[in-house]
Amino acid sequence: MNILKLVLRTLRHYSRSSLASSAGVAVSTAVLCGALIIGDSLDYSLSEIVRLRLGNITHTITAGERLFTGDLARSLNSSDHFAASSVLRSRAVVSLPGGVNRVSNVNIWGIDDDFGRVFGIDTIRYIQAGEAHINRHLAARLDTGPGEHIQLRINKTSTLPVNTPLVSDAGRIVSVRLRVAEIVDDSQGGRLGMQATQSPPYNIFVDIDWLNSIMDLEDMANMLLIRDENELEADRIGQKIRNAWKPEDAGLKISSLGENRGWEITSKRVFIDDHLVDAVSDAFPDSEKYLTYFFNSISTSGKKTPYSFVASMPGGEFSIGNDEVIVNEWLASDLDVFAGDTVLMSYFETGPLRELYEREAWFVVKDIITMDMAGDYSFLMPYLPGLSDAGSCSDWDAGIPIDLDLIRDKDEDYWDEFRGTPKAFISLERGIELWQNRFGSLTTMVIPDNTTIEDIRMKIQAQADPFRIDFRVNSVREEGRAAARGGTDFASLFAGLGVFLIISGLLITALLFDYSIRKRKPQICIFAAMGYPSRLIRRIFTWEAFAVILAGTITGVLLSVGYSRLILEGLNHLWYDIVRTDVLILHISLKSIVIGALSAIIISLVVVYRGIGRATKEKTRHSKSVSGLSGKHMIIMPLFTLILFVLLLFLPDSLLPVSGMISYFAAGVLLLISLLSFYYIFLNKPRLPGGKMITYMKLSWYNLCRNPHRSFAVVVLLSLGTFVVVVTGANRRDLETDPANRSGGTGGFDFIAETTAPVSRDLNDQKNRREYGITAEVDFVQFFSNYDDDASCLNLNRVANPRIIATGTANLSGRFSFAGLHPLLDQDNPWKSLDDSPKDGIIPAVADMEVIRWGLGKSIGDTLWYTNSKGEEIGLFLAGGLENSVLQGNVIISAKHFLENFPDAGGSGLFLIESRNARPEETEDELSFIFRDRGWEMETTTARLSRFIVVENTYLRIFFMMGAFGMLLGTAGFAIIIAKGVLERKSEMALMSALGFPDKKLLVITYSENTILLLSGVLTGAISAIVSTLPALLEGSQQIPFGYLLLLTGVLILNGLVWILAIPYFLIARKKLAAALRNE
Amino acid sequence: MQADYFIKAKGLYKSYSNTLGSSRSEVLKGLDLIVPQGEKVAVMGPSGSGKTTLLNLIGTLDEPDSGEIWIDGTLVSGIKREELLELRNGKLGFVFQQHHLLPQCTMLENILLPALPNRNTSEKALHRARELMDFMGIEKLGNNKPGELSGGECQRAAVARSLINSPGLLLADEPTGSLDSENAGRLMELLVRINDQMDVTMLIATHSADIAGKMDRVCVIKEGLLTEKSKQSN
Repeated sequence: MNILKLVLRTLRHYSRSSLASSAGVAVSTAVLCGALIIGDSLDYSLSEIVRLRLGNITHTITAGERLFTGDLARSLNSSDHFAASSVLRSRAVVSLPGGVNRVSNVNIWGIDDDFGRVFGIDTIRYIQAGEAHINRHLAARLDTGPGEHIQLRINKTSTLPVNTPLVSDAGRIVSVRLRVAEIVDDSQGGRLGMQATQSPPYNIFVDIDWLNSIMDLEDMANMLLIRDENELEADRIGQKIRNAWKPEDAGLKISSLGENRGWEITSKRVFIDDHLVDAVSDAFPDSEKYLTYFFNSISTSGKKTPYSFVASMPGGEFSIGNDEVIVNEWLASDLDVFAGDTVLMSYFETGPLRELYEREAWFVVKDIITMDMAGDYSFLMPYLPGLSDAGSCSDWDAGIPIDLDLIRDKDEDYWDEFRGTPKAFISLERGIELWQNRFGSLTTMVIPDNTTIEDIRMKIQAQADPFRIDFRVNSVREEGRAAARGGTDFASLFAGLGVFLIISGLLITALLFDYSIRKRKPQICIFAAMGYPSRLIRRIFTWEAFAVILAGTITGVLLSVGYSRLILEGLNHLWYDIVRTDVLILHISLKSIVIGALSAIIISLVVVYRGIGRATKEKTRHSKSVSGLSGKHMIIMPLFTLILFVLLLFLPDSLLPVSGMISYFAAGVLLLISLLSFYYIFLNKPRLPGGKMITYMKLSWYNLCRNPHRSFAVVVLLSLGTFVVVVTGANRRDLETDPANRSGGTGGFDFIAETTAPVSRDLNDQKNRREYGITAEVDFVQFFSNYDDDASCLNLNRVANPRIIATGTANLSGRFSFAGLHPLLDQDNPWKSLDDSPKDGIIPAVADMEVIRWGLGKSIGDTLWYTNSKGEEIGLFLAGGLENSVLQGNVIISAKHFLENFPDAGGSGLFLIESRNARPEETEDELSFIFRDRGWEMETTTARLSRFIVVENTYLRIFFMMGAFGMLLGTAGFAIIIAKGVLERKSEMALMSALGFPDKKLLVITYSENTILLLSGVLTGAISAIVSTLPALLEGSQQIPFGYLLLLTGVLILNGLVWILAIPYFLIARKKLAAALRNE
Repeated sequence: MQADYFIKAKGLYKSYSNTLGSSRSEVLKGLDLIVPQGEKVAVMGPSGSGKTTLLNLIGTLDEPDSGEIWIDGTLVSGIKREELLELRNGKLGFVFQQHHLLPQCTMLENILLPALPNRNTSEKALHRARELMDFMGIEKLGNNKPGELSGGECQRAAVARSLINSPGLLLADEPTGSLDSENAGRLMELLVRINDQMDVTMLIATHSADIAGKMDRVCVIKEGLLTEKSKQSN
C-alpha cells in the first residue's frame, strides 16, 4: 500500500463527486484559458491585418498635400533590397451609374508597375486606362463585379494648395466612369491602407499615368511606397531621400529668362516656401527676390484702375522706399498721376477658409517708367490658373470675386498687349509686409546667368532639406505592428468579463470538495488515530485534489478552444460593434495555454487547500468554533470595509485615489464585502430567535449555522452573481436625449458631418451659402485636420498619433464638459486657453478623457509628439479631457496653432452643425444633397454618440451574459447544495417524521433555511449593486431601468425558489423517511 | 524504562464548554487509573459518564485539562509531536463502534494502512497482515471491499488493522456496539485470544455485562472518578 495507490482508489470510489468538482475547475479553466486565447487571437489578427494592409511595404514617404515627381521613386530603386514605387493617391465618392449605392471615403490608388514588386504580389497586373481594380469590401458594398461600370467623383490633387490666394477652388472634383476589371482580395493587396485600423477600407486601384492625366498632371505622385528588406531606420531612409530629391519634387520650376538675363525660379504652388527661399539664397547669395500680387484696384482721387498686378522688388535699379511706388506709364496715364501724387491700392487677404478681407495701402508715386522698362519685368507675373491662361479679362477665374462691370475696354487692351506686366512696383520689404502668407513670401527668384541649370539644381538640393517642407518618412510597418501590439488588451478584458464565471467555477469546486472532505471526516480521524501526521493526511488529500484539478484543467483547456471560438464568432458577428471587423482569427499559443492551465491549477489548489487544511487540523469531537479566527478578530474585516465604503461615498473626489463612477463601483464592492463579512460572523456566532423554546424558525437557523462555510459560500455565490448582473443591467448607458444641451456629449450641436473632398470655404459666410444654395438656418463649426489615425473606442489598435483637428476656439466656447482639466488651463473658459502661445514648442490640446486614458494610455498633463510641415517636432500637451463627446478619437487644438504648423490645410473635412430649423431632418436632406459629390456623410450627434456608447453597452452586454452564465452555474451549485443538504440529513428528517412531524413541516424547515440563503445572497448583491449606480441615480444623468432591475432581481429569486421548492419536495415528501431510520 | 504498568493516569480532569462558550461541564474530576502490562480492563458507566473521553485521553486523541498520563513509561503530556505520533502509530491501536474502514480500499489494504506512516509496507507488514487475517478468520476476504462484507467481518478487519504494528495497547470504544449478539460474542472471543496470545493490554469501554465478564478487571466511571467493581457484581 502506498499513497499513490490510496489516492487512485479513493478517486475511483468517489468518482461521481470528483467529476462534479473537476467540472467546476473545467469551467474556470475554460474561461481563463479562453480569455488568453482570445487575447492572442486578437493580437494575431491585428498583426495579420497589418500584414494584409502593407504586404512588404516597410515605409512610406509623404509630403503633406504636396506632389513630387515620379523620378524620385525611380532614382531610389537602387537594389533588390530597396525598392520604391510611386503612388498618386486621392479619395473619391463612388457609386454605380445613376448614383445608386453611393460610397464615400473610397481610396483611389494610382499605381505603377513597381507596385507589385514593392508590395510583394503579382496579381494587380498592369491596369489599363479607363479601368479599375476594386477590393472585395467595396465590391460587396456596391454590389458590383468585373465588367460592370462605376462612377467616381475624385478629389483632384494639385500642385496648388487648396486655399492658395488668388487661385480659384473650382474644378477640384473630377468625375469619371470606369469599368471594373478585377476584384482584388485582401491577400492580394486589396486591403492596402496606411491607417492603423482593423476596419477594412474601400480601395480602387488605377493606372498612375491615367490618374495623372485626368488631374491635369504629368508624372506626379504624392506617396512613395518603400520596401526595405534591411528595415533601415527612418533617418537613413530620409538621407536616401535627401540624396535623390530634386527641386522639382518641391514644386520649383527653373527656367531661363533669356540670354544674359539669368534664371528664374518659380513655384508651381505660386508662393515659394520660406525654407526654399533661404536655401536658394544660401546657394546663390546674389539671387534677387520678387513678390507679385494681384490688386483689386489702384486709385487716386476720382480715378480707379481695376485688377492689376503689382510687383515688389529689391532695391537696385529702382531703389523704392517702403511708402513709395513706381508706376508704369500706362497706369500713370490712366490715373492721371505724376511723381509725388498718392495712390491707394486695395487687395484681398485670404483666410484659411477662403475668407476674403479687403486691405488697403497708400503709396506715394516716386517715378513713372516706360512700358518697355516695365515689360522687362513681365516674367514676374506668377502662373495663376484661371488668370494667366485666360484669353481676356472677362475670362478671368481667380480666387477672388471679379466684377466684370469694372473692366473697361482699355483694360482688355492692356491684357491683350501686356498680359500680366506689373502696373506698379513697390519695395520688397513692403510687399512681404503686405502679402506674405502661410504658403510663402516670394513668387519669383532670379539667379544671375553665370551658372547652369544643373548647377542650380545641385546647389539647391545641397542647401534645402525636403523634410523642412512637409516631407516625412513614415515607418508604417513598425508603427503598425506597435499599434497592433499595444491594442485593446482583450485577454485582460475577457478575463475580467468572465471573472464571475471563474469565481463561480472555483466556488463550486471548493464547495463540493469541502462537502466530500467533511463526509470523509471519520476517515481523517482514523488516519489521525493511526498516527498519521497531519502533514501526511494533508498530502493524501492534496494529491487527490490535484488529480481532480488536473483532470478538470485538461478538460477546461479543451473546452477553452470551443469557448474562444464561440466568443470570436460573437465578436465577428453578434458583437461587431466592438471590433468592426470580421477577420478575427483563432490563434492558439502554447505559452498562453500553459500559463492559463498552470494558473487554474494553482488557484484551484489554493482554494481547495483551505478546506483540506481546516479539515485535517487535529480536533476532538467537541471542538471549538469551526472558524479559525476568534470573535474579536472576525469583526475587523467588516468594520474596515464599512469605514472605507462610507469614506468613498462621502469624501470629496479630490481626496480620493479614484473618483466618479469608479469610486462608486468600488463603494459598491466594499459594501458587498462588508455585508458578506457581517453575515459570516453571524453564521459563526448566531443570535438565535425563539428564546429557550424550540421553534421551526430556530430549527431552520440551526441548520443554516451548523455548516457556516457552506452556507457562506452559497451566499457569496449568489450575491456575486446578482451584483454582476444588476450592475451591468443598471449601467447600460442610454443615449443622450437632449442634443441641445451644450454641456453634454453633443456640445449642443445637432449634426456631425465628414466629407471625402474637403470644403474649402467658410460655410457661415452668406455669400458662400448663396453660391452653394444653402437655405437652411444652420451654423457650422468647421475643422481642419491632419494625421489620419482614429483613437476612439472603435479602433482596437493603439495609435500613437491620433488625428489632429482644429477650429477657432471661440466656436467651442461653452460647449461640451470637461472630465479633467489641467491647472494651466483657464478653468472658466478652457477652450480659450488653446490659443495660448506655445512654450518650448508645446501646444495646448484637448481630447476625449476616455481616449486619453484608455485609447492612448496617457493622462492629463502628458504630451503627444508630432512632426509639423517644417519637419519640426511639436508637442501637443493634453491639457483637458472631454466627457464622452462626439469628437472622441481626435486631438483638438486651436486653428491658430494648426495653421502655423500645417499651413497647407486644404479646407475642412469635419463639421459640427447646429440647426435652427424646426425640422432638422430637412437640414440634413438639404446639406446631404448639396455636398453629395464631396462624399458628405452626415448623422445626428446623438447617433454618433450612440456608436461609442454601443461599444460600452456591448461590453456590458457580454459581461451581463457571462454574469448570467455564472449565475446559472451558481444556481446549479445552489441546487446541488440543497440536494446534498437534504440527503445528508435524511436520518434526522426520518427521526422527526417518526416523532410525528408532518412532511409539510419538514419541508417548511428546509424551505426556510434555503430561502434565507437565497434572499441573503440576492439582496446583498442587489443592494450593493444599486449603491454602485448612485452617481447616475443622484445626477439623473442616466435612466436607471428600475423596472428591468426589479424584474431581473425577481427572476433571480424565482429561479432560486424553484430549486428550493422542487428538490426537497422530491427528496422528502415523496420518500418514506421512516424506512431510512430502519436502515440506520 | 520498562514500567510495571502499561497505562498510568493520575489526577485527570477534563471539562467541555457549550458551543456558545457560556458554560462548562466537568466530565472527569481527578480520575486515576493504572493498568498493568497485559491486563484487559473494562470501563463501564452510564452514557455521558466519560468513558469515551477517558479512552480519547489515554489514546492521545485529546488533552486533559490537568493531570498526567504515562503510556508504557512515557509521560504523554509535553512530549514532542513526532514522538507522540510515533507512540500512537507504534504502541496504540484503536477500535471504534463503527469500523471506519475506508470504503475505497480492500480489506487487506485497510489492514495495512497503519503501516504507511512508518513506511512499513514491506513483506514483513504483508506477512503480519495475513497472519492477523488468519487469526481473525477473514483470510479469504482480503480482496473484498468493505461494502461487500458483513458488519462482523468489517469489525474484525478493524481489529486486525489496529494490531498491524503490534501495539502494546488496544483501546476499544464499544467495539461490539453495532454488532448482533453472535458477532459480538465472536469478536470478544477474538479480543480475549489477542490479549492471551499477543500480550496486548486492553482498555475497553462498554455497556455490556457479558464483555465486562470476560475482562480481568472492571472499572466504573461515576461522577468523574473511576472506581473498581468486583466481577461478581457485574
